This record gives sequence, C-alpha cells and structure tokens, in this order.
Amino acid sequence: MTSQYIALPKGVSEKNFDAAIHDFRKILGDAFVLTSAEQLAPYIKTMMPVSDAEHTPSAALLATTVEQIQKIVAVCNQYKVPIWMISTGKNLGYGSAAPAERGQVVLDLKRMNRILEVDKDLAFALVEPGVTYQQLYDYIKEHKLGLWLSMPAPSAIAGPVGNTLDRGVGYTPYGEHFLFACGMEVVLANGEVLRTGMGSMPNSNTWQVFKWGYGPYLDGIFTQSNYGIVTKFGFWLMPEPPAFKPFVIQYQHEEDIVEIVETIRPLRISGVIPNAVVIAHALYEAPVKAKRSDYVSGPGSIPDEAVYRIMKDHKLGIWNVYAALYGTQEQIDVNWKIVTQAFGQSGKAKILTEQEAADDPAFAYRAKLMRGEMTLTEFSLYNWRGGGGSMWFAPVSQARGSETLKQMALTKQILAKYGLDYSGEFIVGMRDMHHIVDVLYDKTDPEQTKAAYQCFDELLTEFSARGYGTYRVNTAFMDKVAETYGPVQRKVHKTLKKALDPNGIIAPGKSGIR
Amino acid sequence: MDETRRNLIKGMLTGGTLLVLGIPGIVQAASSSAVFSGITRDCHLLLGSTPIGEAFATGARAACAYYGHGAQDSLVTSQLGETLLVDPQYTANLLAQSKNMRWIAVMDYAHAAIFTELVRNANGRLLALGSHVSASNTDAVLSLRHRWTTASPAYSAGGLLASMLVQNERSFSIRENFLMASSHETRLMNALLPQFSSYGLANQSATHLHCAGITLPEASQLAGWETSTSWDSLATRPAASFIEHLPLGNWIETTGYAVVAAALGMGIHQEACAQRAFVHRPGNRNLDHDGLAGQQFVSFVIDV
Repeated sequence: MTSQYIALPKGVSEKNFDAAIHDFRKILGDAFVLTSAEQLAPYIKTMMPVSDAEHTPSAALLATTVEQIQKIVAVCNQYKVPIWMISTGKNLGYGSAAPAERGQVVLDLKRMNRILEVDKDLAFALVEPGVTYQQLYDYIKEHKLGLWLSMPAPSAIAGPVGNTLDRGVGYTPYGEHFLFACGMEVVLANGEVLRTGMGSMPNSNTWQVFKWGYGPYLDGIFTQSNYGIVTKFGFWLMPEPPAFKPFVIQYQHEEDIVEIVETIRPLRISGVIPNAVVIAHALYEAPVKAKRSDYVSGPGSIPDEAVYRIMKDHKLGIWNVYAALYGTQEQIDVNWKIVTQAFGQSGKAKILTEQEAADDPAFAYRAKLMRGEMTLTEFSLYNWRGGGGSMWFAPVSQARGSETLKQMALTKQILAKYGLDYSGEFIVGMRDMHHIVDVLYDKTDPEQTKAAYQCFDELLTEFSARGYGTYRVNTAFMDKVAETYGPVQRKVHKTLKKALDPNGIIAPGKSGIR
Repeated sequence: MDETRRNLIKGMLTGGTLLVLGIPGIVQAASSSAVFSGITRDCHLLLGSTPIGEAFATGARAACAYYGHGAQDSLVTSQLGETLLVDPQYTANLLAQSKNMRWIAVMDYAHAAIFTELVRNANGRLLALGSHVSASNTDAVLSLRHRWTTASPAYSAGGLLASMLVQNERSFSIRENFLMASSHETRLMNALLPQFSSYGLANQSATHLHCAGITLPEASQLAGWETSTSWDSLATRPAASFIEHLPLGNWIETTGYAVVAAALGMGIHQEACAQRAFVHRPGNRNLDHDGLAGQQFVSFVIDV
C-alpha cells in the first residue's frame, strides 16, 4: 500500500504517525500541519552532495505559541516522533531548512515573529525565533532607536535567533553573535519552560542585561545542540556610532597573507579595528563582478593564470582586506593613522577608502554588512559555477600569519584534486581566525557531486588531523565533525541528551548528538 | 477508473491517433488533462535575473498558445530582474498578494537560492524545481543536464522535454525525483517514448531509466546511479506517442515549452515512479549548443 506521506520518521509506523499528525492538527489546526509533497518541497533543497531524499521531512508544523510547542513535544514523546526546529530556515550551505535525517518533522517557527522588546537605552532586543533581520531593522528605523544590527551575509531573509543558535557571525563590532546573546527562553523536551540566566528569577528585570545569573551558565548548551527549543532570545545591539569609516586594502601576492594577518592581529586585540577583518581571496570576490565561464570552460579547477586575469580585469587584489573604524570622528582619525601606518610599512598594501572604492560592487556590499545594513550580494557566489551545490568549510586556527599559507595550500591541493575552485577567505575574529571556503559544485553533474562529497570529506579529515577543528558544518557531515572532537566530548553531549531528552525527540543528529 | 482519468487517457490515445493522421491532437488531450489536474489557477511567468529569460519565455508562450484554453492562451509575464538581490521584500509581497495563482519562474542560481526561501515563507506549494545546465566545455560527455525535484509525476516535464530534445539530435540527461509517486498515474506506463529503451531498477520498480544511443551502464552513471546498478527491461512499449514538431529555436525555448506544458497540467509522457531519467547521446555526438554553451538556470512551478 502506498503511504500518504512522502517520508516517515525512522522507527515510527504509519499508524502511529497518523495518530501524531491527528494530534498535531488538533493543536495547530489543519492549515498549519503540512504533509503534502507540494507543501514540503520548499523544505527540501539542501545544496549538499547527497540525495535530498536523505533529508526529506515527513511533515512541517507551523507553531505560534509556547503553549503549542509544549503540547507538540508531548505528542512527540507519546509517539516517539522526532522534530527538527528551524527559525527562518536560512542555514544555506549548512543544510538549509531540511532536517538532518529523513522523516523528521520540521518545527517551523517562522510564524513566531514578534519583536517583544527593544530597549533604546540599554541597547538590547528580545525577539521570537521567526523574527528576521529585515523586520528588526525596519522596526529600529521606524522607531528611530539609533541602534545597529550585526548580521550574516543572507541578512534580510535570515534571523538573529537561528544564526546565533548555530553560532553564526556578522561583520560589525558585534559580529561574534553568541558573545552578545543575553538570555533565552527554552521549551525542554519534557514540556517545561526554562528561562536562562536572570530570566529564571521572578520579578527580575535583568534578563537581557546580565548574562550569567547564578550557578552553571546554561545558554551555551542550547547552541548547535538539540537539548531544547528556543522560543525567546535576548541579545545586545550596537549603538549607532557617530562616524564610520570602511576601507579595503588590496594585496597582489598570495604569500602576502602572512604579513596581512600579522598586521591585523595586534590591531584587533587592542581594539583599534573593532570588527572582524575579512581577508577575501580574489575568487571569493570575483562572482560579484564576473562569471567563471568568462574565463575557463574545461574541467578542473581554475588555473592561476585565469585568476590573475580576473584580478586585472576587475581591479581586485589576490587578497582583499575589508574592515572599518567606528566611533567619533576624532577616534577614527587617530585610529586611521595607526591602521595606515601599520599596513603601509611594507609598501605592498594598496589602501582604498570608501571614497576611492565607492563604485566597486564588492566593496559596496562589504561596507553595507559592516554597518549592519541589508544586502544579499554575496549570493552571487552561487552563480560562479552554477548547478546549485554549496558547502561551507570552516576550520578555525590561531590568528597567526604562519597558519595561513599552509592551510590555503592544503585546501587548494585537495580542491584541485577534485576539480574544484578555491573560493576562500580568512576572517580574523580576535585571537582566532576562521578559514571560510565555499565548496561550490554543479549538483546537476553526478560525477562532480560525487567529487564534491569526497573533497569535503577529505578536507575535514586532513584538517582535523592537523588540529584544525571545524566550527560549523552542514547536516551531512555533522557526525564526522563531532567525531573529530574526541570521544569524551561526544560522551558528555550524549549524557546531557539522555538527561534532557530521554526519548530523543528533539533534532536527533544535530551536531552528531543522538 | 475515475472519470477525469478516463477522459485523460482517452484524450491521449486519440491524440496519438490524430497525430498519425497528421493532425495535432494535443488540444483535445490538453483540455482533458487540464480537467484532470484541476488547473483553475491563473498562470503567470516570472522572469528573474538570467540572460536566458526571453528565450525561456518564447517557449513558455508557445506552450500556452498551443495547450492553453480561454484566458490561458496567453501568458502574463512579470520581470523581476535583479530585485531579488536588492529588495527581496518586493518579491515576498508579490507572492503574499497572489491568490490562487500558479507561478512559473526562471532565474539564475543566486536568485533561486533566495526565491526558494521566499516561496517557503509565503507557504507556497512547490510543484517542480528544475535545474538546467548546458556544459561550457566542448568535451563534455553530454551537452545538456536537467535535474528536477517534482512533487509528483503529475507535474513532470521531463518526458515531454526528452521527446522534443531527442528529435534535435541533442545529447542530454534528464533526471526527475518525485517526492510522491502518485498511484493514479499507474496507467500511464504506455506513455514511454519509442526512441528510448526503458528499464526499471531491479527489485525496485519505482525507478526508471530510459536511454538511447548509449550503453545502459554508461547511461546509469551519467544519470547519477552506479554503473553496476542492476536494471530490468521494461517491456511495455507505446502503440502511439506524441511527437511535438514545433519551430522552437534552441534548448532553452524547448525547456520553457516543456515546463509550461507541465504546469498547465498537460500530463504528457508521465509515469508512475519515484524517480526516472532519460539519457540520450546521438550517433554524431552533436555538441551544438545553439550558441548557448555555459548557460544555466533554475525553473520553478509554484502555487500560491
């Protein structure tokens, strides 16, 4: 007999799933329990080099209240139905809105989109999971609050809750998003509602201003995890600075990356440059201005000769360093002198101010992100090779120049083995450095899809063998990355899971935790 | 057999007969299948940022003129251009204000990544999502690749597209994955294309492979299965089949035609299966791209 569902949760009979769906409909109403193929298809596109069938949900639930979620977890416990939470579902290149495992029910929180509070004086916000950056941006503008957001590249269509819970980053001085998180409300698997930090204390008004509360700090265990469902989220906003000065510094040789990072690190740690500095390779910037097929047509990764032609044609450095200064004009003037002296010492840097780079579309979108404004320009990456395949490779290292060339060489070598290009950038956080590579491939080409999978697997293997841990990964490789952090951490994760969610109903597989 | 189903099959068979007589019978089939698919929605074409938009629209309008009836014989077209990257809210509002509409949208991969998200936000129903690539390198084994994720075989465009491309001595692969293998399509097994040899995955009849001009193992590999995959021959062959002879200029126009014909619910060359592929390599290895080598785009058929 043909199933009426496009997938079923692992180990759940159709009869039991029917009963669960019936109960979900009683809680949410028919219109907000999605089970048809047409309704679920928008949840399935993943960009990963595995069959979408492996990540096909059995249903999607559109909840609007905490009470509904409490009832949903009760049903899930009763029938052992696993759920996969998304806030806005924009985890593009990391699995998008699709669940980690076939048959999981997507709990889509996009309709929980209330901005509960934005405090102008204390510069914080409290929002529900479905709130988008665009929504909050518009609210702040409308109410003339003089506050800035920090957001990732998918800006307008993404949201602060999902991004922060997956430990995403932005490009303003508040770009390390979880660092600026303050207070969560979490529905636990048993239906209880936990407010973290000061939120647990009746009558306290410090939930969004003091992170730690009393006793063990719990917020961290609800990021990149499956220990609860975050339904409210507090975070700090940056007061709009009186002045802002974005700039780009171009370098012409790949080996210059050593000098770049050595120059940046003291400026970051001392706070002269307050935001994370992006050091983008020419191939990361090229899609904003050019198409791959304009330069190469054969198989294999793009040759260096073509990269140099792209640089020349589109006025790009091989490395393009994007950063900004924030503060009063006086502060900026002083810091600008320090920055230009530091970068100018070797004579290799070409420093361009906003006035000098104003017409450059790559600079324009970077400048927007650094001032917390909406732009989706970085999506141009998906046109570079085309075909819809993308995976973010994101190892972390110390912020030292000596960590760069060997990482880049290894990455390029592995990508070239599989015929793929190096679309990479280094981001100097403060003492850490993220090496971000978009592994782009053509998903319509079965051979290239297979190669992309093997390539990504090899990148993880080789980097972890050298001590470079991945800070975030797509759902197809979560188990592999979890394994690289060793058995003790995995055991602790599992112990927590068992204690908080004994039936394993909340997002099994997230970060390799079941 | 339900009445609309009976009408559809009757229409198709009659259409095939009329074709043999040199009379395009598709119009009759069209009206029947449109009833079957319950297409009462207004169809609109949405052209996003891609240089192939106009070519796709040419094919789309041809399909509408050919299969459409009443108000549907012309296709209202909206230009999105770059607005998705600059102002996604504009498109979000466009979808939110749609009522009982079927959108056929075409755009590049950057815009498609955003559009998919907006469709989900709008609680849209995604009937078919196609990825269409023309190889930019001349030594590619196949010049064209089409990949679809489709809600069910009822929205499948792959068979019609294959029937048209094969006439042009085009090398191509088409792979379709159906999220729900509709049981009511089981009687469409005789809609297989005569130009192709047809196979079913051994021990899993819901996977079909149709190949021509190429060995079965190679076709299997090019469609994304292992060369060692075991296939059984599907003996059923059509007594008659639709053959489209339309003056479409290139593969993009042809794709636009097939996508819109499927969106209108024409139900041509459909099969009851979970996934299927067509792989064709002509004898002369014609790699003519109509001057469109390297072109690629994404197509959507959605109901809002």
